[in-house]
Amino acid sequence: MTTSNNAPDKQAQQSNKNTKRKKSLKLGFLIPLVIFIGLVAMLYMRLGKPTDIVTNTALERPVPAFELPLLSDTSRIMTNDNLPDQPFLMNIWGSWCPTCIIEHPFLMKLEERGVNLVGVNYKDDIGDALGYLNKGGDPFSMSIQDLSGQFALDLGLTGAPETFVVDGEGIIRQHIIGEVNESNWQSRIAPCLMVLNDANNNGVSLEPSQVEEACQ
Amino acid sequence: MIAYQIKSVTIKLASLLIACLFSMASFAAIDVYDFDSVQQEAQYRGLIEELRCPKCQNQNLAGSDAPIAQDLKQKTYDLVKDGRSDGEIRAYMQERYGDFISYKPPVRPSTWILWFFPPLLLIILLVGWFWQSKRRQLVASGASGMTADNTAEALSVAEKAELERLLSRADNKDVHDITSLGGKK
Repeated sequence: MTTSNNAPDKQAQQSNKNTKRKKSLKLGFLIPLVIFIGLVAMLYMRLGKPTDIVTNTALERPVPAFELPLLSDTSRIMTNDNLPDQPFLMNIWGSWCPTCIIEHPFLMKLEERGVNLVGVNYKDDIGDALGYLNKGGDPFSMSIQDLSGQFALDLGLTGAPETFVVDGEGIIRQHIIGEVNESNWQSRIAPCLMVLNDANNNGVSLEPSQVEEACQ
Repeated sequence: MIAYQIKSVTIKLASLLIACLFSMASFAAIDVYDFDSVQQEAQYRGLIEELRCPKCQNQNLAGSDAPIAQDLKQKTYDLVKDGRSDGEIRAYMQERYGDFISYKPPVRPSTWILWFFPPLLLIILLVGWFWQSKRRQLVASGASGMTADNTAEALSVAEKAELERLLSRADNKDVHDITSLGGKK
């Protein structure tokens, strides 16, 4: 008799448990979908963004200490003290570097516009380097000779050409990997240089956030 | 006759193999750098395997012929020759090229996810798997309709009687299914 009394109870319990299990099963089934949607969102956000990782750590630091000969007169040794007091561009170049040759006419234009350029002749034969400047013109206020590549290494260089924007206090504010041309001059370098020039002329030191905004 | 032919073929094959081995050895021996000791050479080789070329971003220094990779190899060599430790050389490179330079990034809060997420995931998965399989075992060992949650509950008198009846029926029919075996325990 007791069995018959207990039976409906048990059945109710069972069905209750079954529905519970079904519910948790349904939720578990959703987990991969949620992960998938998350992945799609994450990957979609990265679409079209630059994938190259900028490896350089020279930004917001002074130009590394150097003692290197002047290209035009290798008996004269240049140091950080010989760098200009005004903001300038430091361009790393070599006569062996194809992109430098492409870039060169634009550097000549920049010189005409009154931009102060300092050249670093990177791992180059001195004869070739001087020939290159004689042929294409010399846009640099001075070129220093980095024969061993040690100075470039200290700058965190990945290849030539690369250009650094240095402020009046000798601190590197911007790093351009590859060629400088009209397009990145207008969009990136000129705004940065303008802000640095203004700060230098007015004798104020810039807030890091200001620099970051102007010199991306 | 056949045996002789087989023998000569084996000898030829063996000499070919040996020739290959020797040519590989001579290939490995070509190296521009001279080291003071075997340890130094091992240190250098380990470092150029670990350090990444900053120009060609998916190669290590050992596998890259980019000019900057050659420079960095030279620099690594100079530092090794100078008797610097692995840590010092890594720090030198990191100061210039950031965390990216090494295929073994340093452990610090910003890289914790990189270092600890995979083992953590493995642990979570293993624990989850053990838990699940244990639950399944419990369910399987329980009487039909039992779930892992109520195996701990004692059977009522009526349930025991029902169990006895089912077991005796199973014994009579000589049926050995898992649920009846488990129920005996």
